[in-house]
Amino acid sequence: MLEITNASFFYEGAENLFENINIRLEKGDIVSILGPNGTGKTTFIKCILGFLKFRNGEMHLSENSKEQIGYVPQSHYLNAPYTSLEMVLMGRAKFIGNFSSPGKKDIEIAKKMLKTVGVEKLENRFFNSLSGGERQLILIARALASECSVLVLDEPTSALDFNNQYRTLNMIKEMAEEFKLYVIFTTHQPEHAMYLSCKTLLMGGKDFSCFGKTDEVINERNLKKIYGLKTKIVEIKHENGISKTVIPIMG
Amino acid sequence: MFLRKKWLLKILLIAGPFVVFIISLGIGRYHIPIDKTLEIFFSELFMANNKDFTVERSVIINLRIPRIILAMLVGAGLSVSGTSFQGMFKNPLVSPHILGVSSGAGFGGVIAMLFFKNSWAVFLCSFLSGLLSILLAFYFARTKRKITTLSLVLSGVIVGSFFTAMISLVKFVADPVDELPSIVFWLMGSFSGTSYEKLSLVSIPVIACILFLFFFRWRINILSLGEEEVRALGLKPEILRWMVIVPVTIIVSLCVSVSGIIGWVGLAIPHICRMLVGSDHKVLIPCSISVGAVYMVIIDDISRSVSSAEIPLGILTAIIGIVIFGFLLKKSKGGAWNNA
Repeated sequence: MLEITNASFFYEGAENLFENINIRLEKGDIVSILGPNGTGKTTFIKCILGFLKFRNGEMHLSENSKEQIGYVPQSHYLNAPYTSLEMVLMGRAKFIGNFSSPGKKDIEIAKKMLKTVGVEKLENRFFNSLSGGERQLILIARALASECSVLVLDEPTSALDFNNQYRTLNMIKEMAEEFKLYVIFTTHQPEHAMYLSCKTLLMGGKDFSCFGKTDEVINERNLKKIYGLKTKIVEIKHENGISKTVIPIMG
Repeated sequence: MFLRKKWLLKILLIAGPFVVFIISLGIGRYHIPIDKTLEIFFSELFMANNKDFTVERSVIINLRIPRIILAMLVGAGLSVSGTSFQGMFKNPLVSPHILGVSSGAGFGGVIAMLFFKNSWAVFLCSFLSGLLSILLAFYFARTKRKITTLSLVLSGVIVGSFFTAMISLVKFVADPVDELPSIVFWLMGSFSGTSYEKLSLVSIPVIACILFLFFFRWRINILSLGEEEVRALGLKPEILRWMVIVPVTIIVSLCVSVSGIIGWVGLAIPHICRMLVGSDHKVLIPCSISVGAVYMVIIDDISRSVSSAEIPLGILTAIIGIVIFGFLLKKSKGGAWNNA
């Protein structure tokens, strides 16, 4: 179980960015974090990763180690003149001493993870030459190679085309089930939260945040509250079941 | 990537320095043919009893061997330092001189030349003031108990410029007939006057630092992705950064203290190697050690053989390095930084 209680954070000299945030995940749970720009989604993630410290509140992981968090950053900023295999191998960094290089076992694991996310063909391609969607999958493979139990993704679908957005989301879902991960990701698309996550954290500044089952939390009232935008949530029946989507009502 | 065959590359990188070493033994104002060179060298190595004292033997054993080895160490040291720094700072314009260490060391050496006129004092003073300058750079870069890469580079430039100005001041007050020429000549770099004593003093720490960076090379790959990435992979960027800066500082200040400020090796060789073998530091670091050593020895060969007075190394490294660099840059369509 992963639990964050009563979390708050402020940057030096500013008022609270967010406060009193409580979330709770079981193994295999996917939590999406939704909120407008500047409400501290990325900061919240950085606190979970340990880059920053919550000013208040605590994080508990039943496996009790921060070492086990894998991070998938926004890949389009990354300049990495290395092959995909090299990139995934870097996920093994904390198992490899300062003065040694990856061994046979590390290479085996890296190749296995490339295969798991379905990009083993890209093994020898340079990371910089890959498309956004491929980069995202390589970085997911890298996080998995680090044997993490918590997977944190920063806007995994931003800068991806329509098809790749859903390919990435499906991959995240599969991995969460296969490796029994706690998955936390940020997004700007309420549809993606509804498509993928069982739980959602809405962050609307220090006065409003709310966490719960995605179906209950993402509703027209809450969306109006955080985005100041009138919306309609509609259900569409199709041959594979029912999908939900959010339509903004302009006027 | 020009060299795709790994075994060929390995052989070239290992054999290259040895071949250049042997050939260089015969080169100089006193020319010694290659067969005679080999005979003297191997008889010295294997048959210590059978020594006839000839001029050739004396030139090779007492003058050229220590000088060539020192040139190799300095070349390898500066170039591996440049490669490590470029990787760590994620910046192709960085050279090992960026943190002001060489100007600091240069200042110490110049001061010693002015006041003590003793080559050992020059060595010691320049080494110590090289270390002092990195401490100054860290002092200025540190705010709120944090040092960012950018502030470190900036404060390095500040410290370097300060010491450069101080060197100019020393030149200004130095005696123009007697002291100034030797100061200027020393600053432009030279391996003349290398002795076994100096070599043995420098070689152990320089070799140790080069080996340190060699074994650290996979971590430099990770460092080159940036601080946040390092953290995300579960490592501590502050500590890793020190593990590059400390050996580089030791290498650079020792190199300056024995041979003056030799520019361009630490900037051009890493780029040339990157064009040859790509950006993966696992290959790039050994490559720059080997190519740096070979390059420096060839430059020194030219310096001591083309004219009766030795040409300062700083001039040659710049002229030759820039020509090779420019040619390769054109051929590789803008260096290997964009995609590899």
